[in-house]
Amino acid sequence: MGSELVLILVIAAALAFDFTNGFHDTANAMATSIATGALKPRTAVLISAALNFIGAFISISVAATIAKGIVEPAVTGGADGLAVVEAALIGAMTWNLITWYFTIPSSSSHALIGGLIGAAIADVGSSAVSVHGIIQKVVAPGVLAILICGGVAYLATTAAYLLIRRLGQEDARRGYRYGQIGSASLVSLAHGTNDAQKTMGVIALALIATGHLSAANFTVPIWVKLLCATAMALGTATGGWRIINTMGNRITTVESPQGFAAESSSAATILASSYYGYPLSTTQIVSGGVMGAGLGRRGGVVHWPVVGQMAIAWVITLPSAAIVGGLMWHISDIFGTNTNAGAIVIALLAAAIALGLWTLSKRNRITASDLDRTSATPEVEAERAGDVSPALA
Amino acid sequence: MFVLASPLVDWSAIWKICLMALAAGAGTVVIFGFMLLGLKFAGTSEAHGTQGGSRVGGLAVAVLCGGICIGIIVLGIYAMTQK
Repeated sequence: MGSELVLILVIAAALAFDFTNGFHDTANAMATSIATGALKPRTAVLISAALNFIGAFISISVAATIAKGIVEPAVTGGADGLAVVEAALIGAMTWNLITWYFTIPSSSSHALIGGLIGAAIADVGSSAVSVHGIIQKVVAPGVLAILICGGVAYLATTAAYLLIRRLGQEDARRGYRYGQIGSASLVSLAHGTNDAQKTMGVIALALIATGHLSAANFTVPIWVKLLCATAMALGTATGGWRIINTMGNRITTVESPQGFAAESSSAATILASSYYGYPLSTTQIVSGGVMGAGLGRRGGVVHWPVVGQMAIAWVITLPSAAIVGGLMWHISDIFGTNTNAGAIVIALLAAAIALGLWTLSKRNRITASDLDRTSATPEVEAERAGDVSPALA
Repeated sequence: MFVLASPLVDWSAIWKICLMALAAGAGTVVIFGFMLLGLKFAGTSEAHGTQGGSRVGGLAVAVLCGGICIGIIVLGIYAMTQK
């Protein structure tokens, strides 16, 4: 019964993390579409939620790669392994909530890896972690994601504005808005495929550790897929307005051709990296895309202080999630790793942290109506931009 | 430096990703722009009462470019299922 209860808590923690992943990463797909008024905020997040749900079922490739290569597989196995996985998930979820509170788009995957690293080090020491794996799977892809997608989005935006000179302001604005809906939907679908699988993999590992699933004949049960897809879709549907605001409005002022360029470049980079088996962070790809699109428009301005804050958050995501994950493991260990008490205490602690941050966030709430630009006139949009693009003028 | 970094970064995959992202990402934006131009050209020709050729030409460009954009989306979804 002991391990059964801990297993249930691990599954609950995984689904809670999946939920935070959903609302944290909605911005990746929909921020620019909302910022340009291509979609109403509520409509955008509902489309994103539906596509995240569908995306979770598209691919059935092994979902456990996140737990391989960085943390030795033996650490996440067995009854002790459940405590490590629960602490890791709580560390990742807590970091996701902290960055959400501070309106910073950071990588949920890096938070999960950080949580695993911290809990594993707390359990068996630094030998559990491969530094080479961290650089290979986290540091290098993080930098490359920004550079690749930023470069592609810069070129795409420059090309789009060359064409717009012949199109005219209104035709361009209206036409690219339709395009944005398609490209943002593709990013949502890709996000569902990538990120829901990571949580499925974690739950599957917990099921293997407790003997509910055979390691030799690895499959993700349908109920696990359904739960993960639903948790992510529900999280997405709640709308992470705080991060959507940062991604869509604070990095740069986005016009619809820029939004389309940023999302198309992001979708292409995400899918190309997945296809060639080189997983890049969706958040960093899209952030790079938005920056590239900001620089690609003549007169466009990227707000570097905001980018600086994001860069700091990206750098500290892994160690911070690791610290929280490690701390949670130690708290759980006080009650003994083979007892239910530790697992229950850290689950309650996580719930308290979530409640506390949610309460604090109400002091400076950002709502869907704050972000709605569907009824903005071209004049209002130009005023918002602070400058009129020479190509659109 | 390149030799040291090589084991940590799969450069052959990175180059392929760069090329594919450039072709599909920037390519889609350009082709979509031509589709809008084609539609505008067809619309303008009709409004000005220009006969046959230029309107059909504009529509043909729009349909061709729209078809390519849809093809790229389908390829993207196919790539997702092949992971």
